[in-house]
This record gives sequence, C-alpha cells and structure tokens, in this order.
Amino acid sequence: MSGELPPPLRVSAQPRRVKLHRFQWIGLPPLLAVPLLALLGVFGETWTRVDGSGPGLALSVEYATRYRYKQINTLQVRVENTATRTLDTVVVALDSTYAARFSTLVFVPSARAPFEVELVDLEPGEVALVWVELQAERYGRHRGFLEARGSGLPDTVRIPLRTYIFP
Amino acid sequence: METVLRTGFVYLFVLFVLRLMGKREFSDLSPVELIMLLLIPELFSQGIVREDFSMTNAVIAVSTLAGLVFVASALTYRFPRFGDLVHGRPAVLVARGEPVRETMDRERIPIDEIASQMRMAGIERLEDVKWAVVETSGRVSIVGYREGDVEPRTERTVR
Repeated sequence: MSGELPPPLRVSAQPRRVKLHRFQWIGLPPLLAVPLLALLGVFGETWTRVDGSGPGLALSVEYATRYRYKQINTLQVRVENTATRTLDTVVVALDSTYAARFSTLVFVPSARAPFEVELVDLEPGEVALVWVELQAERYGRHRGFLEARGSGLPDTVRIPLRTYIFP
Repeated sequence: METVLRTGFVYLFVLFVLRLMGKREFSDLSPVELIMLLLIPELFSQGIVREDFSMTNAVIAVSTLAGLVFVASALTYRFPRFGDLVHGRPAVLVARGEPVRETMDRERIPIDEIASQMRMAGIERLEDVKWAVVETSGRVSIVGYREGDVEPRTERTVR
C-alpha cells in the first residue's frame, strides 16, 4: 500500500470558482496594486538635474526629487566659472528652510557657515564640485533653493529644489 | 521595487523549505523545529527591509506578502493540482489495521505518535484502526471501525 488516499477516503471532485466578498472586492485591488506600483518604481527614488547660469557663473544641481524617510541621498553641485577672470570666492548656500527638513547634513568641502560652502580662487573655465549628504527627516513635500554667489559678480544664481519624502 | 522582489523571493523560499521539511512541521513542534520557525523571520527581516525602515517600505512588504498569500490561496482553491504542490497531499499511515511503513518513514511519524492519536480517539488496538491519515496540516486523523463494518480481524483474514 502506498501512502495515497484509497477510494473510500477520497471525495469526488467538485467544480470550483473563486468568489470574493464585497469587502474583498473593495480592499483587494489597492492591496495588489501596491506591489505592482512598487515594481513600476512609483515608490522609488527619482532624480533630476537642474541647470542655471548667471553672469560669470554656471550651476548644475543633481538631486533626488523623491525618496523615503530616513534614507540618505546626495545633492551634487557643479559650479563653473564662466567669467573671464578668477573668482576669489564663490559661496554655495543651501536654503535653510529646505535644509531644516533633513538631518545629518554633511558638506564636502566642509561648510564654512551653516549650510554654506566657500570655494576659493576659481579660475576662468574651472569647475568645482560640492556634495551635500542629506538624510530625510520629515516626510512630505519640501521646497527650497540652492544659490551661488561669486565675489564681484552682480547677481546670484539660484536653483529651485523640490523633494518629496515618502513616510 | 527591490522590496517586492525580496518579499516574493522570501515567501517562495520559505514555502519551499517548509514543504521540504514535511507535514509534521505544521503540527506539534519539537523544540528544534520551534527554533527553526522562530529564526526564519528573524533572519529574513533584515534581508527584506535592509536599511529602509520607512512606513512606505513596510506597507509595500506587507502588501506584497498579503497579495501573494491571497493569490496562492485562490490558485490552490481553483486548481487542486496547484494546491497539492503548495500544501501536499494527505497520506495514509495505517490501512485496515496495518501500518504503512513507507508513509511513516517518509513523514517521520513513529508508531508511538499514531498510538497517541488512537488513544485520543478512544481506540486501544491498531487492529481497530480502519484508517490513520496524516493530513496536510500535519495532524493525524484516525478512523476506527464502526458497528456494521466488517469485523477487523475477519477482514484481515479474508485479505
């Protein structure tokens, strides 16, 4: 005798159809939609690059426009001296309202003042990079800006920042 | 995206491991089996969430798991063969008073355990057991001879 159920213990096959309760009709679609949307990247990180320029200075900022609570991301700034003379100092500053939405901000090169980095002796055509590491501390939509001021230049260059942090 | 794939992988892997372990793992647990079942979620929780402790990640992981459980349950109901694959099949341990050694060995269910279930069913002798079946849940069902059935010993003699 094998372990298979003998005929007396078997039940005859019945037609089977899966039916849902009304509550399941309501609740299951969103439940199943969450992993599908996640697979499509809806809850994932998104990045953007924004360029801006003014007299004597060109800025390019690459940052995460969407990421999750407590995750760490980097804001990368590319500063280029487009003037015909050396800029003694260029101050790159992150809007404090925007910065306050994040914790453990790490600036490379190191911040000279809160949320400010100073680049010195930027020669014509020279490019400098600034990195800011940001840990998402508050969820929701955050807006702010990043600006760069070159010594002796009439205007500042300002780049708007928009980031959404998932709970 | 990674959370969905990781949760899906863990679900299938744990299902596969539990199926390999056999039916008895779903029934009364020995200390060794209990340790294994307690350690599995502990070991996999980090693998699923990694360093992402956001509510979004938790919701994605739970939705994925619940979705897989529902889909598997619907498929096992609709397609019995798929059900056999996921849950396994009941297997006969005792047939008309005779132990089926092959099933007992394969399911690692000793005669003592069958005897214990027999006592709970109010049956004293193995000869009085018509069928003992290990169900897909790991529990052992005992069907004894009832009045009107062919006398167990007589039937065995005839056979």
